[in-house]
Order: sequence, then C-alpha cells, then structure tokens
Amino acid sequence: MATGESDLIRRAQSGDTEAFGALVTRHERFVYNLALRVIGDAQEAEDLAQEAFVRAWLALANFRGQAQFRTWLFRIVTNLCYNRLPGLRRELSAFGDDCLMEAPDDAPANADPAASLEASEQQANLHREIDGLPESYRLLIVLRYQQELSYEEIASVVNLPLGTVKTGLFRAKERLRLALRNYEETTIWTS
Amino acid sequence: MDKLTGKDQAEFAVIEAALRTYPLKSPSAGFADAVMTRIETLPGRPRFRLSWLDAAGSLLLSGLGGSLILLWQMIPPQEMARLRMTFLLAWQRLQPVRLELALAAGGVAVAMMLLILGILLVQARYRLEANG
Repeated sequence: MATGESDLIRRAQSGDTEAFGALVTRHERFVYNLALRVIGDAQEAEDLAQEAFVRAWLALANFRGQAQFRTWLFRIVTNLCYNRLPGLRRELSAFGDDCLMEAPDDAPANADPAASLEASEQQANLHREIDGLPESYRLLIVLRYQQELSYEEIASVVNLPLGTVKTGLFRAKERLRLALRNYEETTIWTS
Repeated sequence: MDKLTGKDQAEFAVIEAALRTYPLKSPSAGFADAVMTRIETLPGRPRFRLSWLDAAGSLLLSGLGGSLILLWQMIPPQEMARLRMTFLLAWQRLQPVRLELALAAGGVAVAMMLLILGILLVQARYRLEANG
C-alpha cells in the first residue's frame, strides 16, 4: 500500500471526508480509465466511476486491508460494469482455461531506430484494434497492462479462475496478432 | 505447450509494446469534487435508537412470557393431570360445534388481517402526505 494511504483509509473509515477526497484524487484516473475502457463512453464511464467511489465510501467500513485499496476499488468498478453490461461476466466465463501456448509477457521491445516510425504507426493501429475488441478482452487488458495487476489480482477482481484470466489475455493477444498480420499485409500491398 | 518461433516472438513484442503504451485517459477536471458532493449529500445512515416505551414494552412482554413458562413449570403433577382431564372433557363437549367454531375463528382471522391491512394503508398514506 502506498505511503500514507493506510492512514488516509483509517481516517476515511472514521468518517473523515477530506481523507476520502484525497483517496479519490489518488485513484480517480485509474478507476475512470478502467470504466472508460470497458464501457467505451466517456460520460457513462464518469458516472460509473463516481458511483464506484460512492459505493466505496458506503462500504469503507468493510475494507479490512487484506487486499490493496486499489484492487478493492477495481472490484467495485468491475461489479458495476457487470451490472451495466449483463453479458460481460458470461463472456469472461466462456473463455474457459484451455490456454495452449503461453504468450510472453516481457517480450523485448523493438530497439531499431529506423523502424520507430513504422512501429509507432503499428502501435496506433493496434490501439485502435484494442478499442475494437469485445469488452471482456478490454477489461482484462486494462487490468493487466494499464493497472499492472498480477494474474492473481485480476482473477480476484473479476472473480473468475486464474486459468480463465490467462486464457482471456492469451486470446486477446491472438486477436491482436491477427490484426497485426492483416495490417502488415495491407501496408506491404499499398507500398 | 508449443514453442514460440522467432516470428511469433517478434509479433508478440510489437503487441506487448502496444499494450503497454495503450493511453491512460483522465476524467474531467471536476471529477473528485463531483464525487465528494455526492457523498456529502448522501442521507445519513439511520442510527439504532431504542425509545423508553419500546424498551418497557419489550421488557413487559418478555417478562410475561417468562412468567407463564415459569408458572407452567411450577404446576404440580396431580394438578396438571386434572387440567388435562378438564381440557379433554371440554374438547369432547365442543365436538358437535367444531365446524362452527372453525368458521368463527377463520372469520376473526380474516377480520384481523383486514384491520391490519387497513392500518398499513392509512399509515402509508399518512407518510406520503407528510413527505409532500
């Protein structure tokens, strides 16, 4: 837990709204971003993120500190997303855990400066492809790559088995790989 | 588990880089203030309060129940046997009018239920009027 955060949480639990305000400021970007990437609409995401903080305030007495506060907040956001998108949980559960090949998490980045422009175009294209993925994949991607949660933490946030999380992320990467190949083929044909 | 080829690794490297640079967006400037306004306007949690009348009433009822149980336990066995006999005789005497009694009891129960329903409706209407 970040320095001073446990103190802020303790004060907020005793009813100190100023301390809770500091917690909101500290986590608003991550909470909003998770909601935005799953819901896809800025206004709705802001409403959902606000609702998540209100629920966190109401349930703060139940926070015992076994998990990180941030992970606890993400669980609230995810549950609100499940309510907002009834098919999301079913989609996630349908991944199963039949991951056949482990995609490397820490693959080396392309260090060739000559290819940097092409790489940035490729990245921009992949970012668009991520935006076009189904909500279930986006949820896992945001939790893994933007919030930098471990697989175990993601499993706890989405309340699904670890294998399902790994399979979901693997399939998301496979979809992106397919999109990348299509993109490369298109650029070869047009150049 | 299949092994990754050099091409696979290169592709995954590009994907990993894209995933790690997926932009993080910020909420609008007044986001935290809006959250705090919502929190400050939340209705306060109802506090548990026990009025002296509730306390006295529940004490009286529990005392009454306790006394009845105690009295029942204190009845001597001969007296208990006599009571049982009296009850059986009274039951036998009621045999011919059992249906009428059952109907009367049912009627009283329905009347009581209607009365309770009426009270609840009047209370609900009173509350609605009080809340404007």
